[in-house]
Amino acid sequence: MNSEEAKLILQAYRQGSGDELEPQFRAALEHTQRDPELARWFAQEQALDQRIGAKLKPALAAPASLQARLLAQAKIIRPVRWWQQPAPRIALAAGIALLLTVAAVWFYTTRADGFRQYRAVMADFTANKLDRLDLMSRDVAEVRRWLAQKKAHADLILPAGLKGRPSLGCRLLDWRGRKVSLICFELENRQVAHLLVVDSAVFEQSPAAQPLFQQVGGMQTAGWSRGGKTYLIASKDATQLDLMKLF
Amino acid sequence: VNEADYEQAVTAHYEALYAFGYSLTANADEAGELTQETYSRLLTKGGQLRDVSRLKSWLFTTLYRTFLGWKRRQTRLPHLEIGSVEHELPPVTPAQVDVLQNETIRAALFELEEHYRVPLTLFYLNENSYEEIATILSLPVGTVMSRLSRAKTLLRQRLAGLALQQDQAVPVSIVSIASRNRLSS
Repeated sequence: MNSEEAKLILQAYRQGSGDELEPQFRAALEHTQRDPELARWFAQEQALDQRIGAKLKPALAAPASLQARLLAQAKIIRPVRWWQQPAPRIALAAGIALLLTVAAVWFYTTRADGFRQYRAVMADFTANKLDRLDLMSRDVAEVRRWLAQKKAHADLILPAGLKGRPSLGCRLLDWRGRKVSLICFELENRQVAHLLVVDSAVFEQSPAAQPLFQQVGGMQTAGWSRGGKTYLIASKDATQLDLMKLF
Repeated sequence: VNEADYEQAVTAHYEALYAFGYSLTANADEAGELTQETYSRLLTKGGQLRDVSRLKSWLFTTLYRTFLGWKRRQTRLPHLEIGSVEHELPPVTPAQVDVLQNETIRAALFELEEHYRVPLTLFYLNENSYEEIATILSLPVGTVMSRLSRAKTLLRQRLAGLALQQDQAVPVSIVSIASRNRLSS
């Protein structure tokens, strides 16, 4: 190895990074002990790299809010399962369509409680199938503006405990041809609560104004109606007591 | 990836990933979005990761590929004009670097062409071995080394020009870098 070859290798050397364990770096470093000129050049090179690196890192620093945003993401995004992959999706969709037809016939012939169905489906969806949000934002006002633009429910009457809480984002869903606004809120202790809002008219009998608390699967839920809209809160993290405190 | 692993992955690597994303996009908002998208893929596709010890490398590779995907669509990223290279400037010294602002050095980095900027950023972030950098960029280690060498030369030439402007009490502005020809002649 001559000095020029050693320079090329040493230019890439990063002190304390483990580079010195690589044979080529070890050989080049040994070369500096035999060549004073190379040693001087290397010292200057390291001094420059140290200074540039020390100034560059803070200049590329992440904003303070990013970590919280990334951690919150884990609360709402679920893994894509095999049946959600593109290939089996079509076959699965056909099967689901058939099942839905049968279920619809069953539903209307047995006159099942529409809200209970809705609550069960939405609780399962938010627990297991929520794989993305249409808008990610900590700002509830921005979420409302976005929902209003999409002509979805945006003029919401929030329970006192949700007022002032940051959102994580929102998604538009559909329930029997009616738009459902899904807004994810961050509660205390980083608990997440999903608020779903739909027209009360979609139910034959919508819930009363007083919230009805119910555990559905692994989710705690609260459902109530106000101003022609039916609200449902579903949360995996919160206890029933936590939900009660929101009202 | 369970929630505890995910939190650990965020805490350990999000700052370096953001910095890498920032150096790619030259835009703070897009860097945040790119980082978020990378972690979103960890949540949805992290099951594909067989060897947990390769998590960091997987995150950097995913972020870089996501960026390349965005770039292919050419809808989000600004086109960076690359200034002419100055060859006649004296080499920048550590003392000159000391007086330059952090943001000035970042702006000089953003001026480099992407294939120089990317290995140089990974070099300064000091998060990955050269083998990992080669994997992230899908390049042989030798190519990474030679691009890094060239990138360092280019960055220092730009910094030398900026330091010269500062010495001559000319307001430092990266957009006025084209005027260096006149200043140095």
